[in-house]
Amino acid sequence: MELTKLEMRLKVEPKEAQKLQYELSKNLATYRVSINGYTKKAIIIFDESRLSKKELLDLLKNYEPEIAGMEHLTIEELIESSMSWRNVRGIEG
Amino acid sequence: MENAGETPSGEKEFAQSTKHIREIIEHPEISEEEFREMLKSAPFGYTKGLPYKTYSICPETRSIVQALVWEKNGMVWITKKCPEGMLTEVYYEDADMFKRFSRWTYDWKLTSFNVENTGANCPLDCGLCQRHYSHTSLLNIVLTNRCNLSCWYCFFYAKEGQPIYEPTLDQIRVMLRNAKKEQSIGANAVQFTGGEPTLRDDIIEIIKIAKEEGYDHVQLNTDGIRLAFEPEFVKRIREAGVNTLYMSYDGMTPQTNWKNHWEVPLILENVRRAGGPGIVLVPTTIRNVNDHELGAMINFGLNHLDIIRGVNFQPLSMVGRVPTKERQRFRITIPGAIKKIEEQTNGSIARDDWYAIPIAGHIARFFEEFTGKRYYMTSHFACGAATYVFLDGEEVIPIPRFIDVEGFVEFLEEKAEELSNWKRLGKLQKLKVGGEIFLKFKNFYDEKYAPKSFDVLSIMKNAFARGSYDALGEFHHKTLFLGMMHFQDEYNYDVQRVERCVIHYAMPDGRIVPFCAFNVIPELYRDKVQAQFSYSWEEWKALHPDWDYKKDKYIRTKEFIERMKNSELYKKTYLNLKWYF
Repeated sequence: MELTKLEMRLKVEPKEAQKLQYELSKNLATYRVSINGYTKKAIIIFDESRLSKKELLDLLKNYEPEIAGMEHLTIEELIESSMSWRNVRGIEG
Repeated sequence: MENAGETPSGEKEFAQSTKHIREIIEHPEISEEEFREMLKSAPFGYTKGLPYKTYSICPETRSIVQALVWEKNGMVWITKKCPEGMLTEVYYEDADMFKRFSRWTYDWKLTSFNVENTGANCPLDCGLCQRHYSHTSLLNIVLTNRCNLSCWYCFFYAKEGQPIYEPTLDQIRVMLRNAKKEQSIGANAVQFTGGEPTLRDDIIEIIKIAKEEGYDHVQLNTDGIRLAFEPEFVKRIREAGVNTLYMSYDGMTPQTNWKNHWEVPLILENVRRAGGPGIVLVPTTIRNVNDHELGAMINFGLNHLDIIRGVNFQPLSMVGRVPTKERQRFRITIPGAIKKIEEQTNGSIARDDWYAIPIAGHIARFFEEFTGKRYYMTSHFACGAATYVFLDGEEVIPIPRFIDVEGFVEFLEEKAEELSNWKRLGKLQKLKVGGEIFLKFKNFYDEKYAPKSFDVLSIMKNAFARGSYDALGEFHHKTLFLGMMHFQDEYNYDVQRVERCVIHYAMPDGRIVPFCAFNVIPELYRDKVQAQFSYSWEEWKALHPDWDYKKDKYIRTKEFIERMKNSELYKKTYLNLKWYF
């Protein structure tokens, strides 16, 4: 399975970010969701076969998303990159 | 009233049990204005005492809102204003115990994480993130959503035609390794759960994988049904490395313990013959349903102390939409259960005999120096309580009656620096320091109240002198562990507890999620990820052509019940018991 990772800037307030976090996290197409209402940064990793990029951006349109980065990764790569030994503070994964 | 000839579901038994309500918890009145006033002046976090602010979740909208934890009528309450209205729920039924326990905190930060989130939307962005305050003390892995029972309240097990969740051996290994490699302390204990984990044909292989991955402690969360009918299987799981059977046990009668009352005699006998694993009884504790049998369940444990290692009460977590009236009827909290135990054991196990779980973190830090292994038990103080009771002939003696545990732990804290050099000490120096600690330990020990049938002091002396945790092994065979673990629900949810959670679930997508996020917000965690990683019914059938859903299900026959009723084993297990209180 190939996934898409989108990094964005959103004009979103913390309370709205929380709501958005919940709604997007519920979606079976998403594998990681991080909407930070303080830093205004968002990272969403999702399966485009279930939710297209356009549909996702439509869901975010009220927050004027600006794409800061995009990459493709497999589910195996996502899992591997999440492992504890890959994410030790102060050490590059 | 036995429901023979069908898969146990408990529906009729529950209806019967709740026909006569003995007591309810009255919620105090608090106006929105009073709530806002108190919220304005209350500090954030529990360290400054009651009242204090925290965050909670709203049952319907899932909004994260500020909540007030406050005291009234000797109890602790949590109040929040949700979009759906004002909500008040009992948090802890004894404010004094709350205050005593809140002294014991043990916070520290993981240095590894599994998601890039910062926890800004906690607990909607779990994973573990950098904000989490504890490592994984007990890792849970769901092995299957197939189950041999059909509990009426359970939304989790797969019904006919529904997707089957069953991670592969490779996925299980990755999940185990992920938690084991947490920094700075990895998980040491794993619990395989379900559904019913013993339904997996490859369970022995899974247990071996956990051992290969370095887990010292492996436990099965089981209803025990398969163990009742397959003595060889009990032996095989013990040999493969299962240390503990964490077994459902909700009461002393077929009505309160409809899950496995009739099978328990066989389970106990099979475990006895196999020489293990040790059993921890797990009563889900519900007011007006089985809260009148808590003392009797402890007594049951004491009567089978050769194989029962502990009783771990789990006050009911009311996940889902639960009307106030039902919460008032069925809610019981840790101090509520402790009070019932004091009453039902005639004061033999009293309120002050219990400790907050984080105190174990301090003791563990001390033993870590001896063993070189790291077993940190931290958690939020309100998540659990525990004690040990000794069976001294016919007398039950809780450990605090003869050891001033809190005083001793405070002393160990003072000694922390000296103990941190333990590994570098030579043999003679170790003996000297061990001896000093032992001498000091005697100041916290009251011989007058100590068990007479075995020498606690010399066991401790051995432990200090040999510097070996194994020396305490003898302790375990004469004691019964008593625990309380109150998992949260939407009504009493305190985000500060989740941040400190030590009981986690590994998910196949690479995340590790606290228990009270995984189960209380299933649409984001448990149900969602399992939907993503499940087999459709058709895929499962194609992969397992010989599998039959109906064969998974346990049917308790009338003949079996009759046979058990008239058996010597049944009498030995339930009827010929000594009453210790």
